[in-house]
Amino acid sequence: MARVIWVEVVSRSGQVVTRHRCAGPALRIGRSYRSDVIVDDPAVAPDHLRVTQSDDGAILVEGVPGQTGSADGSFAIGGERRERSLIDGDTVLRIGHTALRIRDETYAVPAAAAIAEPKPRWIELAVLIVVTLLINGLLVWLNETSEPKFLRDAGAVGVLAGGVLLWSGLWALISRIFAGAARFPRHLGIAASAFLFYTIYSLLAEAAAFSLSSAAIAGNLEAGLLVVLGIACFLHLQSIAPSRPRLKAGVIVLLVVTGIAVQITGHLEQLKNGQQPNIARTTFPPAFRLARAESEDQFFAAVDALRRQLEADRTASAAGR
Amino acid sequence: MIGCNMALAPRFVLVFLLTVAMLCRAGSVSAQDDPPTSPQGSAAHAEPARPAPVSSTAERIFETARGKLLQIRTELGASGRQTTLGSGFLVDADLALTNYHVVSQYLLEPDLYRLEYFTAANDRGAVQVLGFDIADDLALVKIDHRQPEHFSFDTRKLEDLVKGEQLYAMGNPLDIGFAIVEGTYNGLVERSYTPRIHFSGAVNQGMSGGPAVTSNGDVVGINVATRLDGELVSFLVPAQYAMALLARAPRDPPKPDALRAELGRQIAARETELYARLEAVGLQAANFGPYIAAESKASWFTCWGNTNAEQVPKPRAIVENTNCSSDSDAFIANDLRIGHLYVTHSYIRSVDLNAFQFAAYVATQNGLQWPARWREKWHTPPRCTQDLTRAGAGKGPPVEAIWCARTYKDFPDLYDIAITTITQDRNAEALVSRLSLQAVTYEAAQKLGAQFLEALKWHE
Repeated sequence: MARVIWVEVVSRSGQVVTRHRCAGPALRIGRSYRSDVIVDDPAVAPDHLRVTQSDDGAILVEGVPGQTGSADGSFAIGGERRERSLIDGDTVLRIGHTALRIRDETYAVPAAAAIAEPKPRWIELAVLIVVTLLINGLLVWLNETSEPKFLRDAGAVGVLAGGVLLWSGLWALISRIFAGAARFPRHLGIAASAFLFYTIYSLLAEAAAFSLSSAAIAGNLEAGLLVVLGIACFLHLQSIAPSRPRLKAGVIVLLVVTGIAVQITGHLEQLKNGQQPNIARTTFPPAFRLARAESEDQFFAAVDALRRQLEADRTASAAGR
Repeated sequence: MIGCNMALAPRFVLVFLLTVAMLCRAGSVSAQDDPPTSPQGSAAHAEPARPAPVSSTAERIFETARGKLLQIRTELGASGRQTTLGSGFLVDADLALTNYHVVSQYLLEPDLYRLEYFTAANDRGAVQVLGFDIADDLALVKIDHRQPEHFSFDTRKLEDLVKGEQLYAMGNPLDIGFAIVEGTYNGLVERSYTPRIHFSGAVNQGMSGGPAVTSNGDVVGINVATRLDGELVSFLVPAQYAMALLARAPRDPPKPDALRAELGRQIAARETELYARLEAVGLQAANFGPYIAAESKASWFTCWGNTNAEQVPKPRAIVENTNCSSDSDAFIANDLRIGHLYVTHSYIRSVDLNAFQFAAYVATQNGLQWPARWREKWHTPPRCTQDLTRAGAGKGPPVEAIWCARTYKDFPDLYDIAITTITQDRNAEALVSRLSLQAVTYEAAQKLGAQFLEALKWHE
């Protein structure tokens, strides 16, 4: 019964590297040119495996005895050394450094899946990009305090847009290399959304710092940038391959937390080196103030409290000598 | 003091600092060496062949003064190599006066440095500090060999001296040998917190601590500083302060620890008095568009203004800056002067900026201004607090008030404080005001800060 037998060399992650079509019912696998399937792996013997299919379709794998070296005609299934074994189409067996899978023509494959990738939503994407550019253009204009120059101002927006494009392009390239499809529109969508989100976040945070006169908010805007970057990276990675989301999230959270810790340390060191502490700047019109201040007592109470901190600094510096 | 648009901080140099770096500049400094023609000198015009005739008075004075002059060197304790040079003069058999800043390096680090004197006859010996006066930059020292002659003081009151009177400053300029310099008395310096005689003569580096005498040879002042941005504009400490120090200082040298403690005491006393006087003199109102803000009434402030209105391209907001800076700082160490004050106001109005753009413009103008650089050796790190508050005791404009402070590691109860207020009542006009106080007590700063804030009002 001459059935077709497929021998597949698979990668560590289970993807097919090469696929060999062989005539059954018996075939040889090894490094020599006597073999039906040649495996170029120095740890594989010249005649390593013999595969036979019985009439009922069962596939038997046997090591070829009398071989020299570590291979010695044996193979491993799930880490266990064997010399002969009946296998099915999902068994991965390892000879030398090579993993193999053997299937015959009766192996059942699932029905065709629906096309997983929806068509890029170009209109939504275009709206997103236009809104992002408009908001950033508006911000550039609102912060333009010298003579307006179209090229310089538009250039500022252009540089931001270029940055987003470059970022999306890099992710598309990574995606193309590792997942086979660039999916540029999707990466552009993620990048543009993250950028728009950060723009709005920083605007709101600055407004909050201004209306509350809070140097603490003003000084920690970058932490938000790192969080947004982390989320964007997670989404990019997920759209390349949706596997192991927890591992990815864990690594990203670790990186973001490290980044924030580095920033805080940097701020503390700057303070220690005598650089001016952060102060919230007056970047909004007075109407953005939340409350009208009526007395200076609160301010001078804070001034009093500051003195205690300064005294502590002095004591610490005296102790340091 | 001079008509040109000079830099806001007066560029004084204390004349002792003859370090290697300054020796390198000797070429430019020596340009000032020509003695001014004196009335006595002009008597010698009968001999036109001599372009700069030597005054016979100067000749006579220097002859009698030569043995009473000292050069005072600060040397490294281990190698004996000189680090700074100054001058001094004998006021008793073994007592000499000089500037505090000539001996300050030794006083601050007695383990690292030592002091030595040299006479014109090249005798040398050890110097011990008996007392000092940081407010007037004077020090009384004891030398280890008694000398036969010493100077006496001119006991006239300063008012009795007339502008134009000939004075003779002596010392060892640039370490090139003892010298005498003719110049004129020009009264007390206006706009100086510390009384200083304006002496029009070439006082050079290395002459600090040397005497300036009348034609009788009596000391009227002690060389202390010169203005680098002027010609022959030099300063003397009036002799009365030297006489007071001489009367007050002990005759046995105190221990270094006691001198260091005395330094702390004098700094605290000097600064307390400075800020008490500032408060007593009070503030006066100055107009800035619709705002009224405070300036000090004290005579020792010099105010300058400038604007960006003439810039091309035309600025989109016009800024008028007023910068009032006090001449009230005292030398403590090479890298520390204390008692400097600033009051600045920037009145900003929009030309064609909208409210958001104007706020962004104001944000570029509200950087803080400290009275002096932060130095890790002296200061703790600065800290700030800020809040929206209301100026003019509740009747003025709302302002963003920012209070930044740093302490002195070595001097308890002294702080550098910088207060900034930014008015928050209009979309196209703002006043950014700053009050910057150096080496002030916290209480005095709070009082002055509250006055400053209270004085900020609207026009009726």
